[in-house]
Amino acid sequence: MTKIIVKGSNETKLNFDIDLEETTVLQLKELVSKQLDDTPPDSQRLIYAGRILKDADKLATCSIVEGGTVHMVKSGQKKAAAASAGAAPRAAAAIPDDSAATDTQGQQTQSRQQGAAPSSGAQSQGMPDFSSLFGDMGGMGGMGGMGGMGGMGGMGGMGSMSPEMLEELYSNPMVQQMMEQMFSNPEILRSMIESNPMIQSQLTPQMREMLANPEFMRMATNPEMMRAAAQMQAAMRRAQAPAGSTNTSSSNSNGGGIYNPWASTPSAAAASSPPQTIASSAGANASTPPFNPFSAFMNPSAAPASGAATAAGAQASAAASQQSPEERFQTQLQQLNEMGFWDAQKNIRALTMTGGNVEAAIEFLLSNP
Amino acid sequence: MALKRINKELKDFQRDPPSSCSAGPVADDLFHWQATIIGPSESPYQGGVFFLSIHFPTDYPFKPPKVSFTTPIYHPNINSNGSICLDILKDQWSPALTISKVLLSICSILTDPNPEDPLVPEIAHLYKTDRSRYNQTAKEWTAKYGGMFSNS
Repeated sequence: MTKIIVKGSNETKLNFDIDLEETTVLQLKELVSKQLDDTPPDSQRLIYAGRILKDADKLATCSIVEGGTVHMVKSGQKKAAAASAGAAPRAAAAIPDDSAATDTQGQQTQSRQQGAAPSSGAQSQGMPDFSSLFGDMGGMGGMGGMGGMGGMGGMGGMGSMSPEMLEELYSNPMVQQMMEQMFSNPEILRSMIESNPMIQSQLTPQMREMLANPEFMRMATNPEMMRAAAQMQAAMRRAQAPAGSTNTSSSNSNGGGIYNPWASTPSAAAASSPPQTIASSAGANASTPPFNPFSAFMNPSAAPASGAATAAGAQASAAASQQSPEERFQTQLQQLNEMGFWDAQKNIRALTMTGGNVEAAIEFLLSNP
Repeated sequence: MALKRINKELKDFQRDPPSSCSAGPVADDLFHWQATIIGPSESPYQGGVFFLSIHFPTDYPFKPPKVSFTTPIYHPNINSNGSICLDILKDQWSPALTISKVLLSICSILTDPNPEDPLVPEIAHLYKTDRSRYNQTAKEWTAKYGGMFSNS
């Protein structure tokens, strides 16, 4: 025996406990008509999974599942309908009167609220264009906020982007524009760095010099360079090359051995584990001898993030260790929410188990409903 | 990823479907669904059952599903191919939206068409200038196309 629900109009809801293998659609209609006055089986249309159920079919063949809901629409005008099938033009005259309207009226007073609800639901999601923009990249990287640039602080997950993805990102005119804007003015980059105490504390005079150096800035603004750097970083990740050992000798005259801005520091490599935000890689740098605060900024994937957001992200993750899971996984939680996982408790559990890896958390949520 | 999300939506939909909509995969291909919308009672579409086809892109939910009517319907925002002009199916799509919400939104434009963003300008014009004739025609179409799929 299987429980199914038949939902009529007017909030009618009937529960049945029947054998799907044995019961035909027509028999179900008879059961319904026993419970509802003036709904003879031949005035019912039963709908399941987008299909109108055929009288002769067994319910099991309609792939109805335990707890499934079958919709019942009262057609109420089967005869009229049959007639107008033969004489469609006549329907124009016949239907507008009450024959159709009154018959169905009582049954069809379906709540308008259903109509109203979705539009608010839909609109409250108001997403900026970024959604489709970054959607291309597989939705990675704590894009959680989505509400605007502010939310992009958690773009850290993008550390795991492949060079191809970066390529795609770079070819996006919008990103290019953002980068251009950001780098066209060294002041912005500088204020980004200076607004972040963590980075500032590591900022040596040499680095300040570098930032002030137009040659360096030009390099940083050159997408080609960035792309090359990304590829190199990926290559180094594979090769596990020690940080600082590779100097982009071609044009990087001011980088020097230690402060090579393109160097793949261990922490930059660690950024490939999604839970880490870009900013936290900057934080981790503090304990790495050949530290490289620039990796956070020069890591091309971080570039599109607005300065404020990046700085905020840095502070957030710095304090992360003392925070509750809700706060720590705020971005990821938001992201899960955006993707339709509403149960905060479950989300937190999943995130905790997966160390904040959204992808893995989703896997977990889906396999443990 | 897309498949899992679609699977989840299917389960959610089966467990708690909106009362005016129904949807499910056409066959084994989870990326292709069919759906029905029951004409809202406060609209000229009442009494009609409208069929829709839903195609999920492979990068769903990052891209919106393709939803179109297979039952002809007289509506300012739905053309003769069944294409639907609805912002959330285009630029306002969000991964947080689900098929259930999309279908409910479609129900809502059946009750409240949006003549300012029409797909069929003539119907939009009629809707704005001569509401009773619009209602009349919509009812006729509903009776003609939306009411015929009785128990056969």
